[in-house]
Amino acid sequence: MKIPVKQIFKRLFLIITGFIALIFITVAIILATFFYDPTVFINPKNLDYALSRTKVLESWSWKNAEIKHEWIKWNQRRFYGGFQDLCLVYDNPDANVDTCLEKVSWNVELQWTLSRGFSYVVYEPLIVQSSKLRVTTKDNKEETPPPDLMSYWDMLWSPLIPDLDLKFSKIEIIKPESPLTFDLALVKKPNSLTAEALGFNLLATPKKINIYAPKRVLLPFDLKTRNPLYFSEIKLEANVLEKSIPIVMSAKLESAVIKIQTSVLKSSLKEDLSTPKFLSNVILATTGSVEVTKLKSTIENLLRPPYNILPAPLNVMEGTLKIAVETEKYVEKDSVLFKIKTGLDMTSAKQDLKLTVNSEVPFLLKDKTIGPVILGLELKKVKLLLPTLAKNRLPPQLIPDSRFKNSTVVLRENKNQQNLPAKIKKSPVKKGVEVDMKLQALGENALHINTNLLDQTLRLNFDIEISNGEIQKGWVQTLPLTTTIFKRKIVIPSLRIIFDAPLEPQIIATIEFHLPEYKITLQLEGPTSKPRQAFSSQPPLPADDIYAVLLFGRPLSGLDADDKTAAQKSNQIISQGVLSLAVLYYFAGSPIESIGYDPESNEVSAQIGLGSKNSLRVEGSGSGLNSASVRRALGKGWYIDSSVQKTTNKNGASGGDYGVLLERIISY
Amino acid sequence: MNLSNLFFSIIFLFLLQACASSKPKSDKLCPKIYIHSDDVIELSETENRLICGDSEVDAYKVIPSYQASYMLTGLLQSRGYSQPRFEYVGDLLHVYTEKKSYLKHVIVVSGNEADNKMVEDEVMRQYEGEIITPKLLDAIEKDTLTLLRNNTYPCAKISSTVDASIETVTVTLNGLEPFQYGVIPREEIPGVYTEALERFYPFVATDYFSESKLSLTEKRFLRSGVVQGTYFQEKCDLKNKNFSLNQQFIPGTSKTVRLGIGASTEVGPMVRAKWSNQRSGNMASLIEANLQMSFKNQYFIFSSDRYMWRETPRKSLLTTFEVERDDQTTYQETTASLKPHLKWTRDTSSREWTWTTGPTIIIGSYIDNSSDSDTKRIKTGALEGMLRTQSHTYEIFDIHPEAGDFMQFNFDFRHPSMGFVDPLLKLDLSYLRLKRLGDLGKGSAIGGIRVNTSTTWVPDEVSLTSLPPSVKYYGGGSDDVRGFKLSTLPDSNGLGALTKLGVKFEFRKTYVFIPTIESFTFVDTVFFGSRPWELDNRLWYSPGTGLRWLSPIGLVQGYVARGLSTESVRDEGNYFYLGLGGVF
Repeated sequence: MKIPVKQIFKRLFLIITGFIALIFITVAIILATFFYDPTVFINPKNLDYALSRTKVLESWSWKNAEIKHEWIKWNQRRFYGGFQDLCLVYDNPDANVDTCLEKVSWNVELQWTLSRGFSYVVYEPLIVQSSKLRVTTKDNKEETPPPDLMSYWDMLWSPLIPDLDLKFSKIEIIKPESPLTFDLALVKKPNSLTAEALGFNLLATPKKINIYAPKRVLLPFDLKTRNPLYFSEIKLEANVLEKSIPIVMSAKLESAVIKIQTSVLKSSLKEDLSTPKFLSNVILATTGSVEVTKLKSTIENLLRPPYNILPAPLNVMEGTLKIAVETEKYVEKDSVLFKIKTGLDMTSAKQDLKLTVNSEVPFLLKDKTIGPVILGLELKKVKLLLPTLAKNRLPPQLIPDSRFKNSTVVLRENKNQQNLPAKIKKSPVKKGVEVDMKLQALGENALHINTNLLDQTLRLNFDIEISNGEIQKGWVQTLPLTTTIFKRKIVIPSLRIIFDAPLEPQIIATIEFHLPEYKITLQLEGPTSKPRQAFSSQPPLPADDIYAVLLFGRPLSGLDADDKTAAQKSNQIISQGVLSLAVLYYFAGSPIESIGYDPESNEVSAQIGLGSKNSLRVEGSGSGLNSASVRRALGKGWYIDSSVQKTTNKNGASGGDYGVLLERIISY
Repeated sequence: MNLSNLFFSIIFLFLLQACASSKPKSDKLCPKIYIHSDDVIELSETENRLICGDSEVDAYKVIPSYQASYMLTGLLQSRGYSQPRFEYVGDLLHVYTEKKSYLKHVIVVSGNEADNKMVEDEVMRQYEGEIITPKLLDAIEKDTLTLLRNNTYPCAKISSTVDASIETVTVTLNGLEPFQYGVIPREEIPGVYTEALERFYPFVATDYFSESKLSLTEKRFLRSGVVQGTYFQEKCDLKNKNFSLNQQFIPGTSKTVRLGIGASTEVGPMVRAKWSNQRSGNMASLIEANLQMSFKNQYFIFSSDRYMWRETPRKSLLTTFEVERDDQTTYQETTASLKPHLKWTRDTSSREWTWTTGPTIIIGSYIDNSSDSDTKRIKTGALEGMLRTQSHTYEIFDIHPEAGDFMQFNFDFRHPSMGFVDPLLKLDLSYLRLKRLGDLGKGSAIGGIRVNTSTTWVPDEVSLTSLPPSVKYYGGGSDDVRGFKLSTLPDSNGLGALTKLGVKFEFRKTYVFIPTIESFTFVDTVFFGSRPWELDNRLWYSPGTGLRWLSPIGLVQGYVARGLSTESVRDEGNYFYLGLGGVF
C-alpha cells in the first residue's frame, strides 16, 4: 500500500507534537508539583542521592536533617529547616576542606510580586555554628582561573543571599609555611556585615568596609625584639566606589605611627591577585608613612640589649624619625619604584642630627628582587662631638679592616647558657644590591664637628656622587677654620677635595701659619695621595727661607746669607713630603717656639716667642751659649734684627760681633 | 715512693702546668668587657675612652657593647689579632683575641704568571714572618703598586685580603695593561714657552711608563725652583685601552727682593740686597744677584743660567760674575771674575748628561802687611769645563742614594798667555757606583765604590807653595777619608798636594730594626802626590763602621773610624762623628 508523502508528514507531525506535548505535560506536572511542594524534590534523601551521584563532596553526614516548606499564598512561601552535625569533606586541587557544622538552620519567607520581584522576609538568618573547619591548602601546579573577588562581594549583598549568622570556632588554615588557627563570628544583614576574627572587628556595608582591632595585636612574626611587639589602634577603612576601592590603614607600634593609603581597581580583583600586574597596580596606588616621635626610647623598648642603645655619640640624642613612601612606575615592566623619604631629627644639649635620606628603590615584582637603588643623603643640620683624642699622636685604629675575614660573634641568651654550645652568627653571602648614592651637606650649618684637637668647630660641606661603592664625582670642603696646633695659630681659609673619577681625587687647600714675624701660606694642590705644596709668605720670602722660617723660626739666610748648602738641605727636607714637615713642625712647636740644628756650624739654636711680633733666638755650640738675637717685625716686610753672634770671615778667623739690621723683604 | 712513681708524678705535674698555662688569661678591660688572651692587652687612655666610655663627656659616657666589639675588632687587627672572637653573655662582652697571625704565604692573582711571581717574591722577601695588620696590608699594596707602576703598568690596581686561619694574604692585581707616556699636555705658565720646560723630562712620549720617571720629573722642576709645585693627572680608560697624562703647575711667585740696612761691631754699617728670579723670560731662566756692602767688605755676585734658544731648550748660557772687595786690617783684596759658560743637558733612556764649558776671567789686586805696600795685581783667564753624568736611578734620591751611578769630570786650564803665572791644567774625575747586592734579612745589602782622582798639571819648576789652595788637593772629613778631620791630609802643614787618588768602599745593610736605619762598614783610602801625575807610596786609609738614620729632617749619621797610614805608623786613633748630612 502506497502512503502518500503528505500523509507521512502529517503522521510524523502528530507523533512529534504528541511527544512534545507529553514532555511539556510532564515538565508542567513536575513544575506544578515543585511549585506546590518543593520538598518533594528537595529533601535530605534526594540531597544525599544527588551528592552521591555528583561526587561534589568527598564525604558527608548529618543528623536530623529537615528541609521544610510552607504554602502561604501562590506567590508567597516560607522555607525553614536545618541540619544537626553536618559534616563535610570537600577536596579540590587547591584545597581540602574538612568541617563539622553542629547547627545549620534557616527560616525565611520568599515572596514574588510583579512590581517588586523576589523579596525576603527573614524570620531567622542562616545560622551556622561550627567547632571544626580545617582548610588544608595544596600546591596546585595546574593553572586555575582566579576567583572574582568583587563578584563574591556583590553576591554577598545580593537579595538572593539571606541574612547570615555564622559562628566558627577553631578554624584551622593549614599551610606548610605558616599554619593559622582562629575563630570567626559573622553576622550578615541585608545592608550590613559584622565579623570578628584574629582580634579584628569588621563593620561593612555594601559601600564601606571598616576594620579595627579593639585590643592590641601581636605582630605575627618575631623580629627578635626585647619584648613581643603589639600593634595598637589598627584601623582600615575602605570605600567601595564604582570603579575602585580606596583604602586607608593606620596603626601604632610603640611611639611609631604607621599610615598606608592605597586604592584597588575593582576590575583588577577579577584577576589573579598574586600576579605582578595586580601587585604593581596596587602598589602604584599606595602611599605610606611611619613617624616615630621618640626614636631613642622606642629603640630602647623594642630592641634587645645590647642593640637597644644607639651607638655613641648618638645615644644621648632623642628625636623623631619620619619615613614616607610613594610609588612610581619603573622603567621595567611589572616593576615598581619606591620613593622613600626619610627624615631624622634628633637633638641633645651639644649635638644635632637633622638629615634627610631620599631613596629610590625599584622592586622587580617578577623575580622579587631589588633593582639599582638611588640614595640621596642630605645633611640639614648635623652637629657632632668627636671623642676626646690625644693631641700628640695619631688616633687609634678602631674601624675594622674589611680586608680581614669577619670575626666571630656569638650570642648567648643568658649566663646560664654559657656552657652550652653557642649559636654562631654567620653572615650569609648575599648578592649585593647596586647602590648609587648622592651625599650632600651644603650651607653654613650642614655639618659641624667638634673635637678637642681644634679650637674651633670644623665646618664641612660636601656634594658627592657614589656608584658601585666608589666616589665618582663631587667635592668635600672645609669652611674657614682657625685653630692652634703646637702652640701656633693656623688658619685654613679653604680646603677642598675634588673627585672626578677615573682621575685620582685632587686636593686644593690653603693653610696659613701665623708666626710671630711672618704669615706663611701653604698652598696644597694635587692628588690626595701625594699633594704638592707651595709656600708663600707675608712679608714675602724666597721658598728656601719660608721653609726655614716654618721649621726654625727664622730664615736660614739670616744665619748665613751665603750658605746655599743649608738652603738646599732645607729643600731636600721638604721634598720628602708634607709629613716630614708636620713632624718638624711638631718638634719646632713644643715646648719652645722653634728649635734648630745647623750641621755646618754644629750649632743648636732655639727661638722663644715674645708676643706676636718679637722673638728671641739663642744659639749654642758644644762649648755653650754663644749668640743671641732679638728680632722685631715692624710690618709691611720691615724687620729689625739685633744679634750677638760669632762671625767667621773668609780666612777662617772668627770673633764676636754685635749688629743691628733693618731689613725689607719683597716678593713678586 | 719508688722512682717510677716519682717520674710519672713529675710528668703529670708538668702536663698539669702546661694545661694551666695554655688557658688564656682573663682581664677586665672595662666594667662590662672581659678580654681573654695569652698576651697582656692594654689600652691607651684614648682607646680606653673610646671603648669603655668617657665619663667626662655625655655623648661618650655609654658605649654599647656591640659598638665596643666593633672598635675592638679594628684595634685588635691593628695589633695583629686577625681573628678575634666575641661572646655576648647577658650584658657582658667576652673578647677572645686568639693568636696573632703571621704572614706565611702570599697568593698573587692576575692573568700574568710572570707578574704574579715577581710580586710574590717581592712581598715574601720584604714581609715574610711579619705580623699581619692593616698597616702591613697597606704596605704590601703600596709596594706592589709601585713595583707594577715602575714596570709599565700605570693603571694597576691592587687589592688584598687576609685569611688569617691559614696566615695567607691574597693580593689581586688588576689593570695590568702596559702603556707608553704619550704626549703630555701641560698647563700653561703665563709668559713661559712650553718648550722651555722640555729640559726637565727624563723620558720621551714613546717610552713605556715608569712612575719613578714621573717622580724624577717633578723633582727636577722643584729642584730648579722654576715652579713651586707640579703634579701629573693620570686618566685610565682600560675598557678602551687608553691612558693619558696631563701636567699641572703651581707656579708661585718668581722674583724676590731682600733689602737690609744695619750695623755690626765687626764690619760696621752695612747694606744688604738680594734679588732672584727663578723663572726669568719666556724660557724660564734663573737669574740671581747678591749685594752686600760694609766698610770692611763689599761684594756683588750675579749668576745667570740663561736659556736663550727656543729650538734647543736644553742649551743655556751659564754666566757668573763676582766682584768682591775685602778691606781687613791685615790685607786688602779686590777681585772680579766672569764665567760665561755654555751649558748643555741631555737625557738618554737611563741617564742624564750635563756639560759646561767656557772661559773664565779673573781680575784683581791685593795688598797685605807682609809685602812692601806694593799692590799685587791678578789678571788671568782660564778655560774651564765640566762633564757630569748620572743615572736616573741615582738622580731620583733626594738625600741618600742607594743605587745607580754618578760621574763627574772637571778641567781648568790656565796659561801665562791668559795671564796666569804658570801654565796649569787641573783635572778632576769622580766616579761613584752603588749597587744592590741582594736581600739581607728584611733589608738589602748595598755595595758602593767611589773613586776620586785628581791632578793639577804644572811645570816641574812650579812649587806647591806658589799655588793657591783652590788648585791643590786636601783630604779628610766626613765626605772624604772618614777617619781624619776635615782637610787635614796630606801631612804637609797645609801645603796640600797636586795629585790625589782616593778609593772608598762601603757596604750597607738597610732596615736595621726599622726601615729608615741602615748600618754601614767602610774602608776609605787615599794616596797623595806632591807632583802632577805622581803618587807617593804612603797610603792613608781608615776602616770604620756606623749607622745612618734617614730622619724627617734629613740624613743623620754617626760612625767610628780609625785613621791609619802605611808609613811612619801614623794612627790618629778612633775618630767619632755624629752629624747631619754627608755623602759617600
